[in-house]
Amino acid sequence: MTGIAVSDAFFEFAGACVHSIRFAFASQIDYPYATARLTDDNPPESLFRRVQIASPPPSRSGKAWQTGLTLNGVAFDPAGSKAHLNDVKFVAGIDNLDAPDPDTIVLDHWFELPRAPRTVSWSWDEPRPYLLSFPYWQPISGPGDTATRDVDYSAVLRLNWTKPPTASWVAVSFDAFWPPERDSAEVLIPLGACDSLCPR
Amino acid sequence: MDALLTLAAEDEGTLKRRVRKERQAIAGAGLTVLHEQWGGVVRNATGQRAEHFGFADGIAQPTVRGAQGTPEEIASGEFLLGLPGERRPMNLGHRPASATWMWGGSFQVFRRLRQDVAGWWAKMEDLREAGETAEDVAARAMGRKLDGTPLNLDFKNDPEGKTTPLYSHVRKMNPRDDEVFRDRSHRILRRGIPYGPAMDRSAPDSQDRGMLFNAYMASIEDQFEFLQRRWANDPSVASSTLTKSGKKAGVDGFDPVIGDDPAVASRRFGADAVKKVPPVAFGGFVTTTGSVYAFTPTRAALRLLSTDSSL
Repeated sequence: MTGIAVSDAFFEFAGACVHSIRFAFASQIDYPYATARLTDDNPPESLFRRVQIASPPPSRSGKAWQTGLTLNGVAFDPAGSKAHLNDVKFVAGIDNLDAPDPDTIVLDHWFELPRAPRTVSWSWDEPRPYLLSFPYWQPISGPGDTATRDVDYSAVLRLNWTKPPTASWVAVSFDAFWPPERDSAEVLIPLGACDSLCPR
Repeated sequence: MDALLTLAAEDEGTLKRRVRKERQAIAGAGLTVLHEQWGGVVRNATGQRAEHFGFADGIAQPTVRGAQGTPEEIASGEFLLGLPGERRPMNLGHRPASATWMWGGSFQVFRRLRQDVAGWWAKMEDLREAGETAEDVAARAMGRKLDGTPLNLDFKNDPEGKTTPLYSHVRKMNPRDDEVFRDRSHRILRRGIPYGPAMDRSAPDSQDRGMLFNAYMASIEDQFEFLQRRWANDPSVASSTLTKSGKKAGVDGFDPVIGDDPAVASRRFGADAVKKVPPVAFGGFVTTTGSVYAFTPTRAALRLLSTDSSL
């Protein structure tokens, strides 16, 4: 499995359904513009991150969240096929998502990221069943590219929604959708079927 | 100095009349004019508005969101205070919050830039190789031809700068790769005009001529100074940024138009740091002979400033 860079961290999606979201999360990946160095001689046992998820995804400068996304040269339709999400493009300078309506928050949770070294991987070509909210930096840049990073902190999580999603897409933010000019992308995920990681 | 006044008109007569009128008003208010600088349009061989080296000028302005409605538009907060700007990486820090009376205004950078036109073209002649013209060398230095035609429309198809060198002026000033360079938060709106007589390249001279550079932005430090200090005059940009981002990098250098000359570059960075810089990737032909940092308020703020009201 490969993943993507968000918010100086690595996100590897496993699944999302009407009950829960499953993913792996790892840090830090040395995002060139915000490298956060930790002490070498006495590193913390764990890091703690917040994940906030909204459904439906919040608007984008007051317009629909998919504004500025295109697929095959036409406006992206979230209700259409999810088979080619890797090919979704963004207009230059696309806005961030707005702060969500509090009533749309289906999960707001702090999670522990223990010191658990692992190697994380990127692949340009591997199909991704989700989108980024804007073209955030990745350590790969084109077709055929792959990359790996060794990280010190990682976790595999299954988080149940605290209330049922009301739409077929969710927006996942590791910055609580704030501030408006934040330099980190959200992950936009269409809900799928339950799987072995969601036994309900 | 209290104020910088820029006057522009379609014809010289109108401009002179208005300057006379403003001078009277200034004297009537008990103020003194410290310096007056006249500029005028220069045209290149193809009749385009140009700067003194001969390049068509003013053709690469950022478009402002909400003003033109084009896809390349930049957030208005990059040019006007009090409005949202582009995404900012955390390590660039927050821009200071501005007082409410400043909202809608812009910071302004005015510079009087003397251009050594004879020196520029002599260097271009010196550096041309077999089958090349001086204009070809100049095009590589600038990143576009004299008539404004870009060497390459998409830098992403030229990551190592084989067509448009990484050190070329247009690429240094706008690398057009926001994921790597964050260039969308380093744009400025320019409105300059040449001063001094045009030079005939067949009869080079050293008369005082150059550019009255006028630019507007939300943060002088983040935009004008960043471009000048970090991109134009850092020989490791763009390669250091590209390498940090895991990308391939090509040959680097100083901005050939507004960057340092070899002697100044060696003093600032040490001989080792500049020895791999190709000769064309040094500047030294543009000298700042005057500079003002100013704030351009909105008309409403100007009216407020003219009263005894508290800001």
